[in-house]
Amino acid sequence: MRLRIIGWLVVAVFTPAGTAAAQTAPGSQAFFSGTLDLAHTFGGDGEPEVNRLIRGDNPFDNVRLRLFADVVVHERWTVFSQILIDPSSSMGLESFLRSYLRFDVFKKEKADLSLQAGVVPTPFGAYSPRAYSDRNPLVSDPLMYHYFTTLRSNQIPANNADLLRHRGQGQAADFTGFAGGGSPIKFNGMPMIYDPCWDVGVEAIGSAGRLEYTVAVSQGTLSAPRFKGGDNNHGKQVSGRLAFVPYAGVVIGASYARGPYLDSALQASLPAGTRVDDFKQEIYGFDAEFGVRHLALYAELASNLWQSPKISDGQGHRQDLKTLGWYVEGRYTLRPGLFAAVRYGRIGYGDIDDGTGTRRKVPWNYDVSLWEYGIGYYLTDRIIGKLVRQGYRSKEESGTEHFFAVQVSASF
Amino acid sequence: MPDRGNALTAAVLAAAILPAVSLFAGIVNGTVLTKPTARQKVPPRYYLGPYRAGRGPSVVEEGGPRDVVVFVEGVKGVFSSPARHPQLVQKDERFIPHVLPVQLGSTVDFPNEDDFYHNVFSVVSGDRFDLGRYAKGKSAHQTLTKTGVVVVRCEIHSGMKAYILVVPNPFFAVPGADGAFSIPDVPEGTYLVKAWHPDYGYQERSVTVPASGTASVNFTF
Repeated sequence: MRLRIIGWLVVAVFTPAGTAAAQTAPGSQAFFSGTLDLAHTFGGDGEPEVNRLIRGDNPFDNVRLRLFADVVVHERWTVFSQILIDPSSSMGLESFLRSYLRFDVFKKEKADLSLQAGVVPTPFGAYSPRAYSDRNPLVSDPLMYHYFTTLRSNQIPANNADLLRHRGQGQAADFTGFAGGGSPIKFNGMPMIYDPCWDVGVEAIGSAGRLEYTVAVSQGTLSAPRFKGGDNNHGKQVSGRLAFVPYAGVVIGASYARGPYLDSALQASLPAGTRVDDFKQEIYGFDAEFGVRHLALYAELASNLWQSPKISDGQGHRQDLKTLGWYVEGRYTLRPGLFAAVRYGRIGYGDIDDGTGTRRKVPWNYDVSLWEYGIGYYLTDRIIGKLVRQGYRSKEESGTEHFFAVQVSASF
Repeated sequence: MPDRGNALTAAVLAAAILPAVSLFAGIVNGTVLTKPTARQKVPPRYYLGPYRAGRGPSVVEEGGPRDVVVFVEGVKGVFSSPARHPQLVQKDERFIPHVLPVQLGSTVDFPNEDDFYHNVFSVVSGDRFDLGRYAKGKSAHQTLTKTGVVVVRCEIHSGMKAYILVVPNPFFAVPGADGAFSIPDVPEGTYLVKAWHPDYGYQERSVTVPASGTASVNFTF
């Protein structure tokens, strides 16, 4: 039933596409737009598995079409919808639909507040608005926003050795997972933050003077958003971001999120006296942006932990699973219409006891790093051509995987 | 008795200005009718904060005759670039005006009156330019050396868009809100009078301008 409703919603929203603006009802207005991305990879080590996302799609896929419908229902009410169509994915369109309602509570000279509800934008960090091909100077996303660790929301590792035995497997779609209980379905692990899918929840966004803020309550967590609705446990995630703009061109932000991430179905597999909602993801983030003349610089860092029921420090105490992710990115306009960009990102994993009784500490997953650099050229003001080279390195292997890609991104 | 240098200067100035202030000049006037078109101001999809983007009003602006430029083509003469720089102002996350006609060779100023950065660029015209990011109170400029349409955008705020129409001479006008326009001091002769609208393109009419008096021409988009 839900799929049918979503299907009708998609049809209703996008049927008039092709018209830039359409009158929908007295006082309302609808705007339709989109991006079409054509990409091709070549050279190096072939298919870039590290970029594959949960739904089986990939920013380097040959064809990706994103459609937007922004409906101004009333002066203060707007419905924002978008859908991604990627023939490489076998999952239904409902997995790619994002739609939320915004209500502008007030908008003054030096302060404003809006409320949003639905499948709402990631309330953490500063990358989400730049994750579109016409805003992203490169092709892929930063590692910390998509790379899969081995941990899952629907399974738990039986112990430290079980977790360590599967290091490096989280990115694989056929990852069978752990022996500690849970779903036998082969599936990816969880990323630190999964921006390609947003979460169902409510958000307050606004500003006061030189501060801007976002506060959200959502069904899932940053690592396991409930993008199809529903809830996997009884807890909610609380998240937010506070940013300070000392002067134009400089933004400094701090983010925080905390919420239970395990599925309720795991309750029977948990240690006695614990509940699913006791085990949380908690993440702190910092972001900075600097721009002047033809240069734009971005940097983000996130310190994350998951509480896992059966991971111990070797002395009988439960131990958190920590990750540290960060990236730096730069973009420089070389001449009108021509720019160069580079991004380097990394995820490092905290140490845990190796479970052999020797008290040896080892990272619970393999550290990974990803770099991408390239050039872009505006063929027109709405068509950008990009040539990038991406490299990926995991501590599991000695070498570096790399490949080239071209992407043409058209906005309409 | 004036010295030779001053006389030469006066002669050059006269040659440049004469066609525009000919004693045998008329007025081209008329009316432009446009369909009611909604020029969208897309509400910001993402909230990016007051000092970056996304705070612009969620309104729909009605386009109209003021989006049209009427100009006379084929007037012979050498026209010096205007000393005064036309302005395309960045304010409230939009370019003002939406359509700016300028004479060939003009230097256009792009002052930023918003609290946040803008980055004016154009990659559509023959004059590709990118003026970089600059803050409130600052301005950048660009000299336009080719006739035609220059599509101007802001790299930071994708909803911002404006058009500069570079025309070959000073004989152009933007209609008032009622659609009426008047182009004075057009030298006597037969010309093409063109009207251009960013959504509907060009229309043209052949017009004979009398030695004195008025030639009327109307356009409907």
